[in-house]
Amino acid sequence: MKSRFALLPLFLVSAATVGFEIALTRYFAVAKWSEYGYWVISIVLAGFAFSGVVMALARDWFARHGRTLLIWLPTALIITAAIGNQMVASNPFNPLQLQNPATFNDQLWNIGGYYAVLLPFFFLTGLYISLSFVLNDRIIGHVYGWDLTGAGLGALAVLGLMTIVHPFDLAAWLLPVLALAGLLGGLGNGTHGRAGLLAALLALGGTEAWLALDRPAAFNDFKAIYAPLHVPESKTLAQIPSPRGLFMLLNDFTERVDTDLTNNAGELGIPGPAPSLGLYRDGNRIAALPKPPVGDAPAIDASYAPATLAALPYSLRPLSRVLLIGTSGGYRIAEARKLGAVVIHAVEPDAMLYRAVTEGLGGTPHYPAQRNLRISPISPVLAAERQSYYFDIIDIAGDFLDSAETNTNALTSAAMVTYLRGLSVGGMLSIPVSIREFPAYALRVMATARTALRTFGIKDPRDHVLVYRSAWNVRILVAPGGFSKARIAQAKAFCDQRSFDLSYFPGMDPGEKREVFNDLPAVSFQDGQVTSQDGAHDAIADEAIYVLGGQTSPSAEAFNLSPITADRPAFYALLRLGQLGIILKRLEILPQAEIAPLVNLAVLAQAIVIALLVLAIPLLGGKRLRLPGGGTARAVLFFSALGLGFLFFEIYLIERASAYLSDRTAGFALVLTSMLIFSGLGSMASSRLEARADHAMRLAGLLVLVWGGLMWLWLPSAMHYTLGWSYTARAIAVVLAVAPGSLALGLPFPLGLSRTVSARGGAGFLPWAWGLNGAFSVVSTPLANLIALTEGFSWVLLSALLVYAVAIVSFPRQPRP
Amino acid sequence: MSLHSLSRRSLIATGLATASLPLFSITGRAAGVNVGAGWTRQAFLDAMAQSGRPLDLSESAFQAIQARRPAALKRIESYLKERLGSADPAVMQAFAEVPREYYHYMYEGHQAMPSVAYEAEPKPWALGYGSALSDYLGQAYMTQVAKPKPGDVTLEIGTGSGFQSSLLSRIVAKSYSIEIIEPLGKAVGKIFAPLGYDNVQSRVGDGYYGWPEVEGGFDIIIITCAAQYAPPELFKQLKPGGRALIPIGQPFKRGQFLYVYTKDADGKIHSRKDVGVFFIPMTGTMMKTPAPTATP
Repeated sequence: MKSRFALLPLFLVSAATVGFEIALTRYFAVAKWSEYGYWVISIVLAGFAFSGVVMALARDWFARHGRTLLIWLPTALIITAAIGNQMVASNPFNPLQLQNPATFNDQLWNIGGYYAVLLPFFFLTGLYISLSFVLNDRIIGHVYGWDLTGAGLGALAVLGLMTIVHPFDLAAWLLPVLALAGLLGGLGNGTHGRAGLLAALLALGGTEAWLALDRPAAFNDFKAIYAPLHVPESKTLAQIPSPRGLFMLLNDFTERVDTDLTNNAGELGIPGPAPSLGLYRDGNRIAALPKPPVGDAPAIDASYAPATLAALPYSLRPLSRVLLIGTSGGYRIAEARKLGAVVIHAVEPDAMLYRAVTEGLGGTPHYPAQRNLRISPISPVLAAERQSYYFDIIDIAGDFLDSAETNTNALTSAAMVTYLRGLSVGGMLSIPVSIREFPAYALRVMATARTALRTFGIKDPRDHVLVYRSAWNVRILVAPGGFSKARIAQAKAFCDQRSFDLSYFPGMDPGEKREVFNDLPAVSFQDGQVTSQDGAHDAIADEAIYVLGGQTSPSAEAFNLSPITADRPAFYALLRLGQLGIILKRLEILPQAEIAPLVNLAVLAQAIVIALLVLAIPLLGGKRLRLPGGGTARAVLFFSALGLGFLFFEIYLIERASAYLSDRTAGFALVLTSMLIFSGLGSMASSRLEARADHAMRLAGLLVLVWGGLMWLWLPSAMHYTLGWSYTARAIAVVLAVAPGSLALGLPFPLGLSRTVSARGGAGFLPWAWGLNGAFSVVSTPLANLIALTEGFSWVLLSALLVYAVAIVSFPRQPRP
Repeated sequence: MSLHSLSRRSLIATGLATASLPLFSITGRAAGVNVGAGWTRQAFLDAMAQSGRPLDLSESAFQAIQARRPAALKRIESYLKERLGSADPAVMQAFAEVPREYYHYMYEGHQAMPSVAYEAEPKPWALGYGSALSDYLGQAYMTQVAKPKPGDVTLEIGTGSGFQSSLLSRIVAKSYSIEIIEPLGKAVGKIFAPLGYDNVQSRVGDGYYGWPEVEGGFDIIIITCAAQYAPPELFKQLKPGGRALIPIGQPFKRGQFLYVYTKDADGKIHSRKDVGVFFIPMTGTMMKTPAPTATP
């Protein structure tokens, strides 16, 4: 190529590709459900892997026609991107039907449809990138650098675009980037170049018109937002696109605060909650927001509060100082006040919800400033730790867990220990758990509470827990000071009046017959059987005593009830994947939130098949794809290990950053762009190190291992101690933590490629190396997710270190002269 | 217009179709057409046209649907016996009478799909507008758990296809139904009259407050769209001894967990989680290990 800026089209193609990938994952999150975005990523990487295969088999042909192909490929990319975007949006895929064996098969065809319409674009992109390597095999470091930095800046640009553009319209903004790549690629290339340039412009015009006129993307009609959008007189009061999600504020008659109200409210003469507005993120409801008040009436009338499941702690501990974790759009503050709280500190870590409560959103009233009320956007753990006084009640909102992905970190055993330390004498922690679909979630939270109590120094946790419930929800009260007989009697009266059940209290005789208002039968997930007996049953009561006593309960056979920890914070991770046969038999009763691991498994299986196919290439390619002196095996191991390791690091860092910032989007954005940009810079520097590649590789490998080792040892503590820093300071800290290792991570791939290219016959190996790297990247994402879900994120980091150690020792040898 | 214009051929055809049905003895059956007594292709097409959902269907296609019905009814009967110990004759009779093919319609797209009715592998069918026609086994189960009796008055929040209301209407005195999605509710509201189901009343609107105009309340309330709680107003409208049912779970599973609510003499609500769609009853103790003792 004539100048280094001749790689600018590659930069633009990489930017647009990552942008399109992100746009697709956003489409899935909004129109369908976000766990299916993993499939998109796997299709992307599969396309790259297949392009490497094709390039490897026909390298010479591509090399001869490479200049021409680079001129015309951007046009093909524009067309395939547009087709992919429109066909994806038109695909009637309904993931809910995957859970029914009778409707499963139709959906497999729809999934096949996604592959059919998306693989062309990503295959052609992979072809473009690998062709850039082939045609510039003397400056591989620069090629890889432009590729990575393009990808990083493309990701950043799309995330910025999300602040103004609806997720369904993102693709339209990316097509001009591809056209620009075509424009730059055509300049100075004579007639062919001009023709290619014109084709790109025509393709751009035609596809933009198509995307503007035909807009098939829509919410799946079984998402929570669908019905509220389609009831009579429904109005959308605000629509706010953001990288954190597409937020919509609706005014329709279905909206009310989501609270667990006693079914006896009518008998008690307590009115239900008044109508409200509904706040949705990506089509999922995250909060009710109050309507503007009429006259002097308060914005929120919480008269219903005494009828809620959450009310018990307030009657056990009146006139309390309360830490509210989650504000439920402001309703929890009003409820706590109604229930007698005198001092309230409410934390709302989610930026949009915090804004809604403190400033208002789309015309909703902000929560009025009051004496003895503080609302802050900090993490709940920080609030409990840094408050200048002890709390009498720490109360987690019922909708807190599901209102933001990172909120699961508020339920870890370490978090609970912090809460317990923040409680006054006689104070208690109140934890909600939904048992509508799987009562086992409550058992897992009890196991977590038990671990927290033991860590706190309590010898017998059974004396310090009280569990009560409605038909659909459990509240677990944890009190370092225990529960007196008077409190237990009060709890019984509270429950009796409201048709709630006291499932566990200290001193409970499990054999004693008690009236159960909400019959919850004991079922066997393994056998598919339910115990039938006379009278109502309480399956939670059956097992609480086992769990709180640290013994194995019957449910532990079917479900992973290990405590929720900072290392394994996933809440919806009950399934024991080793019992896959039973899980598939019971597929139809699984809560939708438990489907993600199965999607990962399916993607992993597909990824392994792709990787095996790519590995098998030498059988087809013959000697063209062999390196002399047995170098092939080393090179295969090297490039495969790199493909695995980079994403292991990335996924580990994204999770840590998301928890640190209490913001999944920011965590993802900062880590992804930093890793890509800094590893791109590292790649560019690699060209200066080719002469001393072995030394550079050892140094890079050492840096990566040291960096990873430091994270293993100190990152969780460092995060904890700096949790009180401002958001900006923490974001900078994330970038500073990611940068050094990423610089080092950028070196091995181009150094290895340069080393193989310089070997006799190595030029033919280059595309295969690219394909291998892509193929094992496909494997690494679902594999890392599964390791994290089953074993914890520290195992993902360990796996990354192990894999990079393999890469270091398998670095291709210097070819003999 | 009479729906009972019979030809010798159609009499024979429907006779053959219903020959294998068990005989059910029901008193006080509600008025309206029912399969087995004049349900011909023409009657079907006329009813579809009157409900604003015209379609073309050949005689052979119609007969093919009717030919599948007996097997489907046998499946329902076996299913109910396996899961609940017996098949309620009233429920079986209702399924025998209500022509399920009439309800297979994609409202978003205006497409009739009668030919898929009584499928050998029962499954839910999307109807558009976020609604689904549940599989007939799950519907039979829920209907029997509701224990409908002649003289009952029922309320359904979430009309959907209208099939549930239609089933209940064959047994009870009056069936009310509210649909919150306007285009669906308006369209489905037109399907009952052509069948002569004059004891079904539906409307579009907010189901949160139930149907307070109905004096005396309801014996059965089915709520298909609930948040974290069932609206207190609905329990107020539940008669003593009545049952409220809330199915939980996304609609494409093979059945759903049912929460069954009853009101005791003191007015307190009791609930029962019915898992029978997914779990087989097992008698005897479940706990194989002795329960640990509580702390003293």
